Amino acid sequence: MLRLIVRRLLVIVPTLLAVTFIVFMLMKLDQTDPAVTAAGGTLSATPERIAEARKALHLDDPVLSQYWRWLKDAVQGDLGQSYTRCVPERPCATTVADELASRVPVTLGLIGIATLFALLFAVPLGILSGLRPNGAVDRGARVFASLAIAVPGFVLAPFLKGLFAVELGWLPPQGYVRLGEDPLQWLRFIVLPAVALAVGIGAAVTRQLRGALVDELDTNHIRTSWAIGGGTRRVVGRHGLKNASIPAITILGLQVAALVGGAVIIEQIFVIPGVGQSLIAAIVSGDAPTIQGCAVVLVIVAITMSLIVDILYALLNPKVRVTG
Amino acid sequence: MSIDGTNEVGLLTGVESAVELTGVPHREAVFRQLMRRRGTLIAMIYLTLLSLAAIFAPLVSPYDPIDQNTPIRLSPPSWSHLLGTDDLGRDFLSRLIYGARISLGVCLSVVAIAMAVALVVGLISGYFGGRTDGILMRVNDVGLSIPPLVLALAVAGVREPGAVTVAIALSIVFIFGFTRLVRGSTLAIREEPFVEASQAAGSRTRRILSHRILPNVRSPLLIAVTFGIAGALVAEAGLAYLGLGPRPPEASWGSMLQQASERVLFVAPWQLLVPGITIAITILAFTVVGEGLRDVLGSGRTGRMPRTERRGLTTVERAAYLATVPTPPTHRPGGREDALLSIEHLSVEFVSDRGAARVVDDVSLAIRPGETVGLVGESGSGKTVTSLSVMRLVPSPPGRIVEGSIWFEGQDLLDLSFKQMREIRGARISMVFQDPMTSLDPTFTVGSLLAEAQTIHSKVNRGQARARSLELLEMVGIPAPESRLGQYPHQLSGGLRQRVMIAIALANEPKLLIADEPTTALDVTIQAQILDLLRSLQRELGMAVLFVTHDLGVIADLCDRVAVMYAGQIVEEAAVHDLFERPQHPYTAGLLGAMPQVGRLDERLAVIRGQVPLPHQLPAGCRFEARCDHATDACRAAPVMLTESAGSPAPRSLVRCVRADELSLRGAE
Ligand code: SF4
Repeated sequence: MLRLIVRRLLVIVPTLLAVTFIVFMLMKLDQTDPAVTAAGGTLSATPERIAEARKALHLDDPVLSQYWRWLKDAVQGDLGQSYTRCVPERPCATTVADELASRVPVTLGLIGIATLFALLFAVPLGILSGLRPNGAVDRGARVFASLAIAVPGFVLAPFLKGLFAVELGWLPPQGYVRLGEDPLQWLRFIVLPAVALAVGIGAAVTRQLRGALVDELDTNHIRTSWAIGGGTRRVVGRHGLKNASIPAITILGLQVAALVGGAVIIEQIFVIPGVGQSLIAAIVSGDAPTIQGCAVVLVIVAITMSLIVDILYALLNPKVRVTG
Repeated sequence: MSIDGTNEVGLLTGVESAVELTGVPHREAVFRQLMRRRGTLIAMIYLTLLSLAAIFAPLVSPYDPIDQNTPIRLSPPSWSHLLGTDDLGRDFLSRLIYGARISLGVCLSVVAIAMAVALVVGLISGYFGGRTDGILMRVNDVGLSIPPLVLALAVAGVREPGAVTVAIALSIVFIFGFTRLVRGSTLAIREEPFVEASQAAGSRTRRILSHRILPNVRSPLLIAVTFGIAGALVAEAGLAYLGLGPRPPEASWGSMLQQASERVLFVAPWQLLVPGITIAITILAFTVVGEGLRDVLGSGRTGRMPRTERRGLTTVERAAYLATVPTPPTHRPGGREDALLSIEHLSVEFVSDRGAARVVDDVSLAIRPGETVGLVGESGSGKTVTSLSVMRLVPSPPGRIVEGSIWFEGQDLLDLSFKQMREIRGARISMVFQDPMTSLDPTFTVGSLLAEAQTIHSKVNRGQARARSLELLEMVGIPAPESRLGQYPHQLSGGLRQRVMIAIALANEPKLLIADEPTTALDVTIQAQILDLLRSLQRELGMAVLFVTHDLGVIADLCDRVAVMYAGQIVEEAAVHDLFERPQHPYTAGLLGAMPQVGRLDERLAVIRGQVPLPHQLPAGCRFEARCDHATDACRAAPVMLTESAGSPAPRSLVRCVRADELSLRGAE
């Protein structure tokens, strides 16, 4: 178990190195000159200021040494300063790292609530359909899952807004209140985005859980459980579900990346001040340090979440736990 | 959401399918099968029409999509503007049709580019394996670990927004998943004999790749591509929604959606519906086609199955039978009064699309207390279904008990409810199954499985259960039982697992133990040990045993009586010595001849030619006729009855052969 975690943690380092390197190189391919951006944009930048910015940001160094410089700082928690919000000679109070530190909890909250919502409907639905394949619940759930997978969250989101915020006025259409300030308000703001994010992922988990349970209830060891006189609750609930949740958890792990990506768009739609919103703004304005920082953080979030899923997986599956 | 299309619909499903696929079905056959599925047909018609509209957009669009006509802005659907106009007075339908050009164009190029790259990398990686594979896959894993949308955004951010930017960004995202799939499928095919044969024959690598491997990985790739297009559609719309898509006045469906939700959400929310629904329907259509392909090309496991009846209890539908039985039921040798278990006229059917197949046909068998009876037959003879019927463990569907009674301690087991049956299972009758590797729940420890077997039937506390578990493990000959309680099944050898299985079965001191091929999955020395164990346990505990096997050899010094089954029927039943010395039925004689024996090693084993007939195609007369050396016209004329054989001493043996009296068959020495 410990070995498993350590092994996974060791893989994270080269992955992060590769990701940051790729993103860094992509930034260098950008057709707009970062020095111009940093000097205040094409309209206000004077040649002197551009030259200053170029010098201050070491933009004339070889690309590799620029990356090395960035990496050295990043390891110490310094992700640099935003090009667009701060000018080199007049650094602003908040760095990219500060900015991200305040945004990460927002994104994590959204992802967490969305996962909770997804499981809340996927687990019962998956179990009920798996118990009675081709029964009424199963047929309904199958149609629902196909639709839910076909309607991307960002297509669903405006409709949710239109119905629950504009028409019915039950929930605010967009915006955000910090959890620490007013938990109830926070929840009101987070419900619609979380639902939009949860539907597709929940549908995928429902499908997988249903399929796994159907397969599972056909296995030899389930027959053994019936044969020793087990009742439905014991056989299906204790033995069937425990085994069927193993593949279902795998699916959840594969959905993690999708969840992180989905959060980026959903934050944009619902104007939630998370990492995704910052990333989009930075891309639009060509703010390389912020893009870098956001990418690193989002990748770390995705990897950590899949690590958590892996640990859950190992807890349920003694074959992995005991020998791995 | 958003780019999760890549993950959920695109890559994952493709990977799953690749594992299931076998063989390369003929292209036209596949197409015909697809067309026969209603959903797939509708989806394909829709996609065809959509593509035609996109290709001939200038011809089919009623207006120019960028023609602004402010006076009629935001007009609702009407005859002149079927879907109304947008906030600049542009015809919505025309914009939608032109949008299809961009959306579909981007998706198709993304999938085509990504698959082209993935094919090269994946084939190389999968075919050559080793170091090359290791490095390529390590790199690929890094790519896979980046959330797709984040990667696409990073790539798209480098260039000016536009359809081409989106296409490039998404192609890169899709490459990693496709590569893993191609590599996985190639790896699976590479081990196939025909590939090895080509290698041995010295074919050039390129030829092997293009002529041997590619055609065989085509099916999973086709499926992945279909789901991939759906995923790309989601992703394209997502990026366009974020403002990275085509620049105005051009618009893809995603940008139309974004415009509608940004500019008119509060004024004219219905404007969202058109692009939203179009995107959803198109994604759905591609997924439906993908699922159709997977079902048709795959193992067909997902085909229509009948509804599950009562889980864990075989359905009994024997009203017609009950109307015909005389009361009291017919008496047989070792009949009901002194029998512990008496199976009478049991018939079991398996229902499938092709109708009902009778896999157990009028089987009667009795077991007295403490007696050990063997039930012997090849696979497909119905012996396992017979033994599972006693426990009502034949799954329904497809199984269904249609005739007969199974009397046990004065109760007809076929009358019992699920709750009543539970009280018998594991307590009065226990069962040991064939495959100890899969018959124990892998997620529970030996200790908790043993404890469970006890707590289901009696109120015992933890300490009592533990003590009894240790006692049971010792009884089945497991050394150092304490150390085993905390272990999981996968940590035990096959022989040990079967001992645990037996210990679980004996936990409540059953009156009858059904052992279904308990040694078949084990190697020979372990087999002998388990047989010894069963024999001594039977003596010690005085329980009755129904021993089901295909191997007459293990029966000889274990059983008192033997019933031989063939094609769903009992063909001979006799005391074990009589059966071995003087087999009455040619099939029994054949089985005896096929049995390796000490002192006969030099002789070639006689093998019974041919195969058991399938339940759908049983002959009218003797079911063994096609394989029998003694067959005559009389054998083919009518069904053969199970009758008492004349010559045998009491208890009389039974045989189902018209020539039983005249033949003298060779037994085992
Ligand atoms: S009835 Fe005829 S065909 Fe059937 S086993 Fe006897 S001899 Fe052979």
